[in-house]
Parts: sequence; structure tokens; C-alpha cells
Amino acid sequence: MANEKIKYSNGCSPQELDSTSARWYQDSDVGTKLSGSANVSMGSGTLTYQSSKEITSAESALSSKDFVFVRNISGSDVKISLDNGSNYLVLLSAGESFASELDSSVAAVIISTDGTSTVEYLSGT
Amino acid sequence: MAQDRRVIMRTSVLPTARTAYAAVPGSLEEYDISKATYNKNAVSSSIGRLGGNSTLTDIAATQWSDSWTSMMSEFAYWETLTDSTDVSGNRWEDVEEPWDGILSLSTSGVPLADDTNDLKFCYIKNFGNNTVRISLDSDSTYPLQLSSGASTMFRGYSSNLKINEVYVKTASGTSTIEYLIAK
Repeated sequence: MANEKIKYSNGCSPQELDSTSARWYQDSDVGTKLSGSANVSMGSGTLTYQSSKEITSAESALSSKDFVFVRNISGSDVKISLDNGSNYLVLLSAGESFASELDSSVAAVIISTDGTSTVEYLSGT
Repeated sequence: MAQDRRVIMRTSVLPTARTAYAAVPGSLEEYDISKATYNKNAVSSSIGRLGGNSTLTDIAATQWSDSWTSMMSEFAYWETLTDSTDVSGNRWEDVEEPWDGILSLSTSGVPLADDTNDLKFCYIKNFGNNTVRISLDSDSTYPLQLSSGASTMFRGYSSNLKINEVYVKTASGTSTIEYLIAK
């Protein structure tokens, strides 16, 4: 295959509990739902997908990528390093996903866990 | 002061591949409906759509400042803006948030906030035409980037990521973003 693209979107809806704790409303500081999307071309047209996989330690399958998607399907919290395992900065609790384009300076994305987790991930180069 | 706050998050990823389609012959009485061989990006049959589910995450009911969002509520009145803390307050001369909800960027890195709490949730959308880069280590490296129109969101792991460690800049030229950055 060639000319692969990845269309991705991230959206969030901040909510605020009313003073009687009866109902959640759209957050009064933000006042709107937020979302953005892009259709990005992969440099060399390669997609690597790992379907549901149980991990108990660092998973270093993602190197030199233009895009990364990681989902914590179930289990313990998952942590993501964008600097080859030196610092884990991003947290994914069960059910949560992370998707972003990566700068070419990122040597490797490492996925690890605080226990046992089932993850899936996609990377594009 | 809010009673409680939370954020509903949703991520969707659709990998596509260039697929060749055969020529389509045929015509109607009044016009030609044939098509030459063409290429089109179609959903990758081996992967399919990823994500798409919604999840909830808690953030603090009382945020570090009104500047936790680039937006200014339509329900905010001038008289209620009484936080005169330099830089992080909400009076016009102290505020670090853009009043129209949009923050302008250049190739010089700027922090989204100066608060030192652990980062619980961050959302950034690129509104401009130039690529936006995101640093999670106080302007040292910029591992994440956003094409025009794209957004990303993340939660900080443990105490490893602080609110004031998120910097943004453009790869070239100028751009604009909207954001949330919460403890």
C-alpha cells in the first residue's frame, strides 16, 4: 500500500455539577464542546497496527513515527513515554485513548503499565 | 466556585489507504456516466476505525485560575473579575488567557500557564494554518505536533507532568490555538 493517511479527531466536553449536585451541565467557564480533526499523510506510507495485547512491562514497538494512537482497553493505568522511556508523562486509564501527530525528533514511543493492561496501538510512518 | 467538574473525552482514528478503482463503463441517453480508472483513499480493511468511545475524567472543582481555559464565559461579568493576582488573575491587566478564546503563537515557545500543580487534563486545538508544536518539558523538546485544524488531549501521569511544563509554538510562521489546561 502507499499514500496512507490517518484521519483523526479529539474532542472533549467539559462539564460542571450544579450547586444542588443534581445535574451536570456544560461547564460555565468554557461554554462549549471542543473538537478538532485532521487528515494527515504518512511520510513513507506505512501503518503498523497492534490489536488487543496484554502488557506487563514496557512495550517499545513504536519508533520513528509520524503519528501514534494508543488505547488502554482494560486493566491497570497505562503510561506513555515520548522520549524512549526516560520520562513517562501521559496517563491512560482503562477505556481512554491518546492520539497525536509526532515530531520527527521523537526516537521512540514507549508504552508501559502500572500492573497488567490490555492495549491496542497504531502508528504511522 | 464550581460544585464539581469533569470532562467527557472522545478520540476517533480512521486509517485510510490509497485504493485503485477500475474504470466504470456506461452511458445514459443524454450523458456519459463512464469513469476512467481512479484512485481514492478508503478505510483500511485490515484495521478499520479505532477509538470512538467516550470516557469521563475528573478534574478539580476549583481550578488554579480562570485561565484554565482560553475561553471567557459569556456569563462572566466585569464586576465578578476580582482576582488581581499578577499574571494568573482574571482582571484584564493580570490575565494570561486571551479574551476571545484564541491564543496567538509564533516560533517562540510560550507556556500555557505558570501554575505548578500536577496536570490532570490538557486539550489543545490548532486553529491556524501552520503546524503547532507542543512541549511537555518546559520548552526543551517538542515531541507532539498538530496540523491545521487538529487537536490533541492528554492527562499527566502521576506527578511527572506539571501544568507549567506545557509549552506551545509554531513550526514556522504564526498560528492560533484554543486550549484547556486543568489540575
